[in-house]
Amino acid sequence: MANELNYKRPFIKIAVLSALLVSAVFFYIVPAHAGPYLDSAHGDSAYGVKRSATGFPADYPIGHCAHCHEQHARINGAEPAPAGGPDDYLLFDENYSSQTVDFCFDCHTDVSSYQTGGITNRSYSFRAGGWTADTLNDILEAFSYSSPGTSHGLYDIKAFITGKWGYTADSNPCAACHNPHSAQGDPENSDTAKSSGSRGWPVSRPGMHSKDNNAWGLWGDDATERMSNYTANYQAPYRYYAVTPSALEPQGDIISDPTSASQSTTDFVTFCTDCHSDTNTIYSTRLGRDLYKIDWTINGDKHGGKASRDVTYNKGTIKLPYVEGSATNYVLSCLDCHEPHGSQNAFLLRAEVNGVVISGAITADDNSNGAWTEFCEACHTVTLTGVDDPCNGGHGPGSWPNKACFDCHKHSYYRCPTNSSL
Amino acid sequence: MKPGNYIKSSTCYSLIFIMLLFFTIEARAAVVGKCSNCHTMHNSQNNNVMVTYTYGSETTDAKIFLLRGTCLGCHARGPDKIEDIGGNDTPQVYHNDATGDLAGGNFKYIIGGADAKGHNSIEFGNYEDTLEGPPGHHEPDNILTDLTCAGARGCHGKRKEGNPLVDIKGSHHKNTDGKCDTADQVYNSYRFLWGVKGLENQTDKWQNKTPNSHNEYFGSTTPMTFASCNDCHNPGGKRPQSNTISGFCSTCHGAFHFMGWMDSDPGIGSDSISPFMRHPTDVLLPGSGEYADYNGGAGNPYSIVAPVARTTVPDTVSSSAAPGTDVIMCLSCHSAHATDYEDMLRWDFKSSTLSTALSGCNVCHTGKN
Repeated sequence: MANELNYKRPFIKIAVLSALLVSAVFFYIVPAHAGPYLDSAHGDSAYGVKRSATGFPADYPIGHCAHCHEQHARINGAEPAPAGGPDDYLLFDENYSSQTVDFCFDCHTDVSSYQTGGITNRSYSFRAGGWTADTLNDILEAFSYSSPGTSHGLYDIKAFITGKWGYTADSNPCAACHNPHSAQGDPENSDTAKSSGSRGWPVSRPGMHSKDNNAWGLWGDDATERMSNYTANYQAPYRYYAVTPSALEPQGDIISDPTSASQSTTDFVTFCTDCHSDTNTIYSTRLGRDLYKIDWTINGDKHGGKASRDVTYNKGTIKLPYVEGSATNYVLSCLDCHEPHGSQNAFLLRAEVNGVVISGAITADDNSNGAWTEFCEACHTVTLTGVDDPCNGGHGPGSWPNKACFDCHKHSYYRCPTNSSL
Repeated sequence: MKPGNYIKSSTCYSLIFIMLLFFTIEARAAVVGKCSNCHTMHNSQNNNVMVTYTYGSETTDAKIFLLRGTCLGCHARGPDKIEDIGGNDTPQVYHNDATGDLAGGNFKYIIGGADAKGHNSIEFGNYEDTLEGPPGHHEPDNILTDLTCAGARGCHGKRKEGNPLVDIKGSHHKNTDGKCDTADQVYNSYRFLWGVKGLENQTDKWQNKTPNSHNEYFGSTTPMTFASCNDCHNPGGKRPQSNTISGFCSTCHGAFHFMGWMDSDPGIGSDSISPFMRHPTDVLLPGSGEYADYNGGAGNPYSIVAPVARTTVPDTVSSSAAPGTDVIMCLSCHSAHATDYEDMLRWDFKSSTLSTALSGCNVCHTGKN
């Protein structure tokens, strides 16, 4: 027996060592899983969610799930404010009700926000455009515009996404574009314009939506998800300037470095055309019609991939930083012209574009205040000569400038029936 | 010795050892030893009272069923978490054992005013000062804050009579230890919780110690739907029709479990499909998405921080969980007696370190870390 034990000892050692090795590997593997919530704006331990409400404990750490989700709709025997019973997704208030009543607005408002200390959310013109005089400072406000202002229609968004990409009738329309467990501030927790050191990535593609937070990642956070990757013909517009332009959108890169600007701009074309494509039909309750379809390819819009150059027409010239002849065709990002949430203008058009602030509100079908002209002339110079001639690019002084640009120029719409380049 | 004989003899010894082991376990399943360990005829012996198993200010006068003590007299005498009483290992629901707590937690955490850390059984003398009754119970509530270990306002026993000892009478004598998959009597129910099925840990008794050594809780893939008072109330006492541990909790915290509840309260919602209005129990831990990575993925080791329940009472303890098969239960987040954390949660969910505060949530919600 003694010999047998001696014979077995090496095997025992090997067995013990193997067990230790397996255990070490196991314990190494287990903590390797990490999710994006703690990197998100809501989950940030310094400035993330922190509910302040009657009946809600003050000692939950910042970023805690319970600031948004009530596991039992009761804490210490009573429902914290706002009362009214439990709600879907364990949210502390109703998920979605209307254009201005949405769970997200309970905090993303500058009036009676449940977020301790409130939240300031600025427009794209402020954050990317550097127009820090813009007074819009919360998301509810951005979704509350009335004519001539416009806001992304939550009802229509909800109607459109329901049944697509894993969204259901219970989905919050804000979640069409944002993953609340991943979305980052851009800039993070700051009331200043973006800079290279303060970037975050707030959106997630609706077309990639998943209820699995590990699967539905951010869009734009990867270098392959930027405008530089979408097209070689992207030129970031100027940031707002009082006298002389000095920086480019979205993060203030110097004018002489358009490459960095392009590389730091989220590919919003791919993002937005998940919904606003050339095939999807999207009804607008506000407009009372289907939205124009967007074709950003070489066969579609001239602000997109379609070649625009034909000097024989009286089309005016383009302005800096865009340069005649420097590119066969500039391809724009959607947010170069549009606000994502809402604006004081028709069609969510930005109040600041290519560094120029539009002095009046743009109305869909009227240019009597010259706002349309100001908007388009932020990038284009229009020469008023000749007569109106849709097939030859003429902008006659007789009808111009009171005519709304939109009357003739719109997405996927060709004024001249015999020349689709116009 | 020839190798063949060596194997034979080893096998025989192993079998004998295993038989002895099972014999020992079975023998210890119910209370053993002299009657006088637990009972006294006259509460007097050599001019001494024999009711010696009492807690705090409990009196030593004669007890019902000739008992020599009270619930806490035997189960809160510490200091170890398992004490020997007359040759019987006796779990201590209140103790100061530094080696850890029992599966139900430790009532010591509520002593000193930390009401939110546990069920405030009035036997401990530490009364609930915040709540007016069990959260989620129906109105009118006749339980109020007078919780007891057993009895009509308790958890153990048939929960019918005012005297806790009446409702649990005889169960210690007939205790079905280990697998409890009948649960039609108190003695064959999991932990004397009438109507609850489960597998009681036999390796480290009364404890959830490791992924390999823990109780196995019984759950269902569908929460109970409120239909009538009889869902909980029965002429024999109160029990969950589902036989699940979550159903048991819901007999007092109904709104937190039922699909549809009384008083216009929706409970967890109208069905067992997301989105829920309250955190559901007795629903599947999904087998896809972030839930597939339960407790680190890769084999899904059973978590004793956020344990799952089984839809059949197993014969043996399993060291892994099965997303898509196992279910969420109340005890996935809470302990039954008390913990050192508010709301009897199993982890420090108010930690100032956010990752620690979310650590229990992240066992299932793996994409939210």
